[in-house]
Parts: sequence; structure tokens; C-alpha cells
Amino acid sequence: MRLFKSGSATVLMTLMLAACGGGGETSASNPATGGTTPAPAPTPAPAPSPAPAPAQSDPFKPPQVPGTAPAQYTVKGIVNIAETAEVDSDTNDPQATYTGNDDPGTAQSINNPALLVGHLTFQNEGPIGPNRDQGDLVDYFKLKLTAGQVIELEFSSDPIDIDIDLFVRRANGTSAGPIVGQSTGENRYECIRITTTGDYFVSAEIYVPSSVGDTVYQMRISAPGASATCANASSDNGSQIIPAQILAKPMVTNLLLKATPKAPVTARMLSPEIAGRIGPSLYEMPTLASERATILARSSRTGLQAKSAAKEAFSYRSEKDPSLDARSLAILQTIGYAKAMKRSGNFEYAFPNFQVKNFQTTTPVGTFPPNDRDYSRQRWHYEMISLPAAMNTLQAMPSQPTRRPIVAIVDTGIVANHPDLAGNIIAGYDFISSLASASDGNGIDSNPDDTSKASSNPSFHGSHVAGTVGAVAFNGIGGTGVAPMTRIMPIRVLGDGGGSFADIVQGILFAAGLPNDSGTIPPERADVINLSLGGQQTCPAELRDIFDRVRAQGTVIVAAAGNESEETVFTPVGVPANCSGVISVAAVNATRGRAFYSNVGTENAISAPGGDVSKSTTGTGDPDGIFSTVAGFQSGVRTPTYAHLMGTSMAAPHVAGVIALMRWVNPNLSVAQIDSLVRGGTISDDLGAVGKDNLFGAGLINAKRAVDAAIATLGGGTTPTPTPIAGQIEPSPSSVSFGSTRTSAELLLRRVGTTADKVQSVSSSLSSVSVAPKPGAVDANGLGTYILTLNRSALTSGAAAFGQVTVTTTTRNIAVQLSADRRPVGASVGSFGPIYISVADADDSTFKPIAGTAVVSPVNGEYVYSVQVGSSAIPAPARIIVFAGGDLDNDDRICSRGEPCGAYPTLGTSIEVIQPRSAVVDNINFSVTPFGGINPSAASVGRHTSIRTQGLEKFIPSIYLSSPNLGALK
Amino acid sequence: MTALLPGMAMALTACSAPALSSGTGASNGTAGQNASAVNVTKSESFPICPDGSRESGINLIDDAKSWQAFVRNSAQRAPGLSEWKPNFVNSRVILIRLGSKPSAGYTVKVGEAKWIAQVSELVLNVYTTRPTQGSLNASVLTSPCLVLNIAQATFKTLKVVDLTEDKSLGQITQ
Repeated sequence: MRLFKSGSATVLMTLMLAACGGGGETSASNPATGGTTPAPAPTPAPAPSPAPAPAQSDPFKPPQVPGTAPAQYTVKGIVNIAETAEVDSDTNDPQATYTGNDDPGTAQSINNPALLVGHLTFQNEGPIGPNRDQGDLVDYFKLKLTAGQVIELEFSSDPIDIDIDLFVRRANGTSAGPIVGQSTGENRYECIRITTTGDYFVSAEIYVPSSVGDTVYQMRISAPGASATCANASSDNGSQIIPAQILAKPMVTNLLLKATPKAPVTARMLSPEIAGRIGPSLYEMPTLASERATILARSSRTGLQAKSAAKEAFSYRSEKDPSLDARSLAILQTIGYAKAMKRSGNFEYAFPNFQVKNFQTTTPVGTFPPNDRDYSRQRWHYEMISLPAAMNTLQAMPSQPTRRPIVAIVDTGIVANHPDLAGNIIAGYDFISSLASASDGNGIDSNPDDTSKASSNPSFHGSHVAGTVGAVAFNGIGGTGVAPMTRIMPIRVLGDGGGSFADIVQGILFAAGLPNDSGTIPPERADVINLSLGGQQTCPAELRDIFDRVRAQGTVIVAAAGNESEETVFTPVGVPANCSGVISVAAVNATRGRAFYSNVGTENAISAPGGDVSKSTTGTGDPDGIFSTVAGFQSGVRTPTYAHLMGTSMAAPHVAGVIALMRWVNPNLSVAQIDSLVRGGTISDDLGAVGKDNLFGAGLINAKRAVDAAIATLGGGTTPTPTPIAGQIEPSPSSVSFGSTRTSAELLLRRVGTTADKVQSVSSSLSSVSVAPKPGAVDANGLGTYILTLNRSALTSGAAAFGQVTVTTTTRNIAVQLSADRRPVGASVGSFGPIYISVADADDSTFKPIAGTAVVSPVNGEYVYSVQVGSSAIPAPARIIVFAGGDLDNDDRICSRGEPCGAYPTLGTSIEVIQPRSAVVDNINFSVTPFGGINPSAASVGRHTSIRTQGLEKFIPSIYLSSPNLGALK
Repeated sequence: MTALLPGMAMALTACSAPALSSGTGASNGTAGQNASAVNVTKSESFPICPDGSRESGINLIDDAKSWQAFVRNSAQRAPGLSEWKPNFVNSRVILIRLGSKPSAGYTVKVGEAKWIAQVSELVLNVYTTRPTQGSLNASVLTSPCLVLNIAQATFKTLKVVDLTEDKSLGQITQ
């Protein structure tokens, strides 16, 4: 990759922002979060046409642009920000205007949606600055929120040092009502889902006894359904915490040894003492502040303010808010006391007792999207197969089925202790007969746990496949499976070097409840066997016979088509997918096209998402892979985690999961019925050539159609007659955001596939949005382009409006989500506060800035800058890079985790080396966005992990004297 | 292409490179020359290259900055690499990438390394595996990769030889 430009040249170069500790999954190469404005291409001063690149020994040295660099030149441009950008009004940056927002009375009004950056600190902690002088333990924000919106917060510090929690209070004018929602985990990520539309105060608060130091944080408030799902919901009736009651489990050693706790806790146990109690016991928080102070003092850190808070027995600054009602005060005290019990070292866990109705329970069926934190990373592949609609249909059934289907995962075994799998795993078997391949010290045995060592290159493939079929849903962690009510039967057949036919056959026989080498058969045979494995051979006759017997048992066999193809060079479907009686699954990418690797042949029965991690098209910043459960190694220890993988291995379990949903609805659905539904196109959306084809089979699996078809067979019904494969009308785009400035948008309605469907009406649920056909662009069937027009004057100032356009066709209703916000009169269009622009010598690997400037505030979302580089004494370098960022904590480094950050032309994948050839280098335009983004996985990764980054050196203020922006500085 | 720091050289010659010699096999190309063993201080193989790269080739990392960038890009897939502390005064880190493969069952593991002073050449022998004939393997795309730290910093040429397949995987000239 090499680009030539007049006056500039591109070189691949990673801007490294080294971390002090470990980190979440978001890497330095993928920092973007929120909307960013693409930087216009620069138009450098004219220069001679580039000469051919000379041969170079180092392929990563950029080509030299002809000519020589001036000794002095000016770099000019614009730094853009998203219009949703917001900044805390009391950061530690002395260049920013400081306005305290420490209570509801001084709460800072912000827009909605918003991407906000902020700073909190203890007095006399952290770098010099206004917050260090005064301390800033809480930031209050005021805004209108709509039901379904999620507020996310992530901070950069180790939560052991400084723990930030998130609270929501209802607003009545400038007065704050009771706490109606809280997120008080002991990790870096917090979130609250809003259940009722209205005015709110949102606060980010330091848990005071915890803490030393300071932290930068980000807060994201997204449109309903647009952001991560969240287990913590606000409530009309206030927080569901029962004041003064705490559920906690003492350390086992204290129970067994009857030893005196090293730091006795002042809390009265309410539940009876039961020897060997497995669950928590109920404790009552002391009512006297002096008694509470005991444990708070023991759990507090060495910071003076933390010690002082402990003595006063308060945990959050808002406890001192005179407007706080008694119940909310008790809730804050209870949360704080539970944290102190946990931190005392005497309890495995401790948390406030909740009203039973608020307990998060693990249920197999519920309203999608589920509350699993990483569901947003699976959204693309589950929405592609209409899983949310299928789940909603299942939930609406008059009564829920009771028999949970079984899917056998014949693969590499299972990570049995994975928290997103463990609840759904039933007994399986290990059929690897080769000692060398098994790497568990024995031959076949009853333990299918994946015992792979780090040295054997494990992929934990079986666990990934199992997670796609049946990871636990609605448990607030990780992702979900297609059929979360499934019982997973792990069968281990693949070890080091793959698996033998003989072992795999034994595993298949076991799963189907047929006699096998183990001498045992499972209590129930599997409903479905998933074979995400294969080889390039024809199907042996013996295997065909075995599959016939398996099908006769009532077990459906699903297999991956194989990955040996290329974009234009096709390879036949491999074994066992090419055996008759097996449902061969081809793979599609995130744009419903054929995945480049997916094998091709008449055997392909159906398609499902297999992903393509070389692309990132879903808007999440993630690769377009299938996100599911795996394990990794931390210091040599197997550790459950998640990963994106791609392949027909990932497509097959989508189909196996959907068939499990059908068997959940109707356990008596026969193999032949399922075959008919799959191959006849009844439960898929046609792709490629009309009808069945060798690339996609009958098309893309559709869980909703599958569930509907299964329901139709209940009550002795017969298999629905396969309907002709039909296309449908689809909207583009599927959602429209007007933001705060747009007033019109186009909506295209088109047929996808073969269909006679027609558009009957198009209407908007928002009175402020009108819909009309674009003149001459809509045909007699109602297909074509429509114009959506927003009347901004009809919007409530400062409020976001959410609604939908409903497209009614002759067969269905289609919803296109709408969002718009109207800034308060006089409000600017987004701000991240002061932004520091730096110019560095491209040949200095430290990125130390040699020139720069600061722009205190943007105008209409743009930070316009001009930097003089070089002087008569010190000539300017011939090759430069330009980057910019905020310094909320005033540590003289920009681009620390959470701080705004950007580089020309983009940060992350590459930055461009500019080779000035004239006195002015103009149009060096780029965007900044909070570095690192908000990562919900921060809630599940190591709690004691700091992800603070060293950032990049800020240009020193003395050189601002050369800046035209000096006048704007305080 | 994966973003690389200037200190990370890369050769994309793996698949098309011919065998080094015939008769005695490609083995190590040291016939007739005095070769001394070089210590491989650390090595780790991965089914999917930890930095996500799916291209075949050899990378030489010769400075701490490039190494830190690689570790950061690999943090999710190979957090253990952060525990390595290569000394770039007297050692180098070498990445050997087999490129995209259609299934599990492909590996690359370290053999031995030899230093030929006369020609300032470092020869690294590795062993590769591919799915055995007739076996079935997980149908997931992989990109096998070997990361190793070798106690030799000064050499003009690095040659990587696959002893299993008896062929060169490529070479880098510093």
C-alpha cells in the first residue's frame, strides 16, 4: 500500500499509545467510537508530478517527493468532531472554562444523543489543575431521555484506585427526585437502561472510600436500540435496592476454620447460620454512622480524603446533597457499605439486596435484544437470520415448551467452566483414541473438556461453535446463542492434528444414542448433531450407512460445507457435508454475499453467516467475524473469553441452533419434515440465483420463518407446504438519523429477490417528520425513493426525538427507525473542550512535538488551526506528521485513554507523512474522537487492570506564543 | 496489509520461494561452511496470527518500539506476549506466518537456528504440519504463526527453512 501525492506521501505507520497495564479488547489500532467526520482530502500546494519510486531495500520507507522542504512553513487545517461531542464543564484542563457541576442545582445541560468526556479526582490528587485544587468527586448532567436509551460509562483508571459509579435521578425542573437507577460494579464499565421517557439527572460519582488519584471517563448516550444492551434498568418506582440489606458470602476459610476474621465486619447476619451454606447470607447494615465507619475505614485506601470520608461514613458525595430524599440516601449508604464489606477481604462477594422482581434471571426466551453485554457484537449475524423476531414470536406463545432440545457439538471439546456455556452443558464424551492427539493423558473417556495446552495451538473451536448454538442468554455477560434454551452435549473428537474418521463416527453414534465404543449411551439422544469439521474427500459408504441410522433415531445432522474455495475459484463441498442426509451449510459475509472461502456444490442445502474478519462493515468497529465463546491463556492458565472467528464452521451452528428452536417448539418434528422445510426454501430467504443454487443452497436461514413453520405443525398439523422461494421489499437505509442539523433524508424501497409484493403506504410516527415520494422516483408498485423532511421547529428544544417510518406492504410492515435532536437555543454543535494540535518530525519515533497550538473551543464543530513550523534558527523538518487531542487531566499528555485523539488523515490504521514543498501546507483536516472508545467488555475483563495510557506528549505552552490562537487562551 | 512500524521489515516470499538446494534437501544450506548453534530463547506458535495478519511471510522486529506495537496489536489473541522482554541489543524477534489456511491442522514450530559467520547468515529451521491425509479438521479459517526470540542481533541475511516440506520459507537481508 503506497500512495503518491504532490507534496505528500503515505506510509503505513502505527501511532503507538503505550498502556501502563493490560487492557480490554479494544486495541490501539481500533480507537474510533461514535460518529466521526471523514477528513476531506488535502490539497497541498502544486508540485511536479511524482517521479517513479526508486528501488529501495526497505519496503516501508516512503518514496521521496521531488523538491526540498522550506526552512519554515505553516500547517493549516480543521479538526472535526462529531456533533454529539460533549465535554464535562469542570475538567482539570486549565485552558478550559471551569464551571462546577457537582450537584443537581448546578447540573450541566447536555444534548441527546451525546458522547461526553470528563474528569474526576480527589482533592490534592493527580496533576496540577483546577480539579486538583478543589477536588471533583461527582459530575451531574441534565437531559431529556427516551425509553430504551442506554447510558454507558467507562473510565480509564484501575477501579481499585478509583471506582466510578453511575446514577440516574428523575428531574423536576432544577430539583432532583429519587434515585431510579444505578450501576455500581467494581470494574471500569457501567451502564443503565432508561425505561421511562422524561427529564433526568445523570451523575458519575467516585466511590470515595476506594480511592486515590484521578481518572478520565467517557459517557455515551445513544439512540434506543443503537448501543450496547444493558442489564441495569431504571425504574418508575425508584431503585429496587432494599435499603440497609446486603447479601454477602463470607470467605470459605473463615467458615471452615472458625477463625476470627482478620478484620471483623460490623454487620448483623439476618439469615440463619447454615453450615456449608453455598449461597449468600443476608446482613443488615448498621444504622449508626460510627458503626458504619468501622468497615469503611478498614476498606479505605491511604488517601487523606478517602480516610476522611470513611470517618464520616459516607461513600458518595451526593450523600451530602440536601435535596436527596431519605430513601435515596439509604440506598447510597447501602451500596457503599456493601462495597466496603467486599473490600474488607472477609467476603467473597457482597451486594445490596434487591426486590425479587428486579433480580436478573437466566431465562431461555425473552425480548430481544437481550441484556448480554456483548450482544451488540453479535447483532449483525443474529439480525441477519431474523433471530430477534423469532425470539419475540417464541415469547408470545401461549405457553412455553418444557423440553429443552439437545445439540451435540462433535468437535474439539468444550471449555466447561465458561460462564456463558456452563449452565447449558450436559454430559458428553471424549472419543479421541490416540494418546498423542488427545493430550489429556488417556484415550477415550467421559470427560469432553478441552484440555488443550497453549503449546498445542488450541483454537477452542468446539466452544466457539457451542456458543453460537446455545450460549446462555439474558445473563448480562458475553453474548447469546441462537437457541439459548439448548442443552449442549459436547463430544470431543478433534485433538492435535485433527480427528480420525473412526473417532468421529463413534462420537456421532454416541450423540444419536446408538451403541458405540464407550459402552454407554446418553439418557437422551441429541436432536441435532453439529459437525463443523471436514476434509476434501468423497463421502465413504460406511458414513452414509451410519447417517441413515442416525436419522432413523430422529437426529438431524448439520455440517459445514468447508472453506477451501476462493473468490472466483470454487472447491466442492467436503466430507461429511457431501454425504446424503446431511444438511450442508454454506457461509455468507456481513453483506449477505457469498463468503469468499465457502465451498460450492449441489450438496449445499442452506446458508448462514460465517463472517469475513478481513472486513469491518457493520459499523461496530469490530471485524466482520462471528463472535462467540472461546478460551485464552493468561500466564499459562486457560481463561474463558470470547473471539471473532470465520468459516463455514461458524455458519453451521447458526442452522443447528435454528433447528433446535424448531424442536423446542415441536419436539415431534421429524427429520424428514425438517429436511423438507430446509431444502424447500420455507425457512430461508433466497440469495443468488432464484431458487436453490450451488452457492447458497435454498438461501439464508431465517429463524423467524423456521419458528413460524414449527408452530404451524403443532396440534397434529402437517408440515407446511414449502412455499415458492420469495423475495421481499427492503428499505435502505434501515434507520435514519437527522442529528442536530439535517432536515431531509432519502429512503429507498426496493425488491430483493423475486416478489410481487407492493408498497401500500409509508408513514411517520413523528409529527415533525413528513414523508413524500420523490417526484418521478416512485413506480406504480410504490417502489423507489421517498423524501423524509424534518420540521426542526416542531422539535422540543434540547430533546431528542425518536420514532419510526412504517412501510406497509401487501405482506408485512417494515419499521425504519428515526432519530433527531434539537440543540438548545444558542448551544454549540458539539465540543470536546480545548484541543491541542501537534506537529512532529516523522523521522523521530518518539512523536515529540516540535510545533503546535491549542484551540480552546470549536466553532460549529470545527477547530480551525494554523501552526508555524521552523524558524530561522531551527529549520523545519522535511517530513512531518500531525496529530491532536485533548488533555482533560492536564498531565501534559494528549490522547490518553478516554481523551479526544486523532491524527492526519486517520488514527489507527495509518497516519500520513507529509513532505511540505511550499510555504503553506493547507487542508490538513482530520477528526478526533475519545481514544479507546467505550468497551462493554471492560465489565468482564480483569477488574484490577489499569488501562490508562501514556498518551502522547503535549506541545509545551511556551511555544503557544507562536500560535495565532494565543488570544483565545486564558 | 497490517500496519507496521518502520523497524519491522517484512518479506513476502514464502509460497513462491524455491527449495534452497537438492540432494541433501533444503535443510539448512550450510554445507561446507562452519555453522554454530544460536539459542532460541523464546518461541510460541499460534493457530491464528496474534496480530490478525492473514498474509504469509517473515517479519523481523529489531527495536522495542516495533515490538511494543506488535504486542499491543496482539493483546487480545496472545496476551502472554506482553510477558516477553526481548533485548534488542543482542537479540531479534522473528515472525513466521504461513498465511491463510482453510482449516485447523496447520502449524509451524521452531527447530534450531544456526549462525554462519563467513557470510553473516542466520539460518532458522522450522517444522510445519498440515492436516494428515484422511483426517477431518475444524472448518475454521486459520493463519498459523510462529513468534520467536533469537539470541543473535547481527547478521546480514536471515533464511528460514521448512525442514518438513524441505523448502525455503523466505529470507530477509538487513
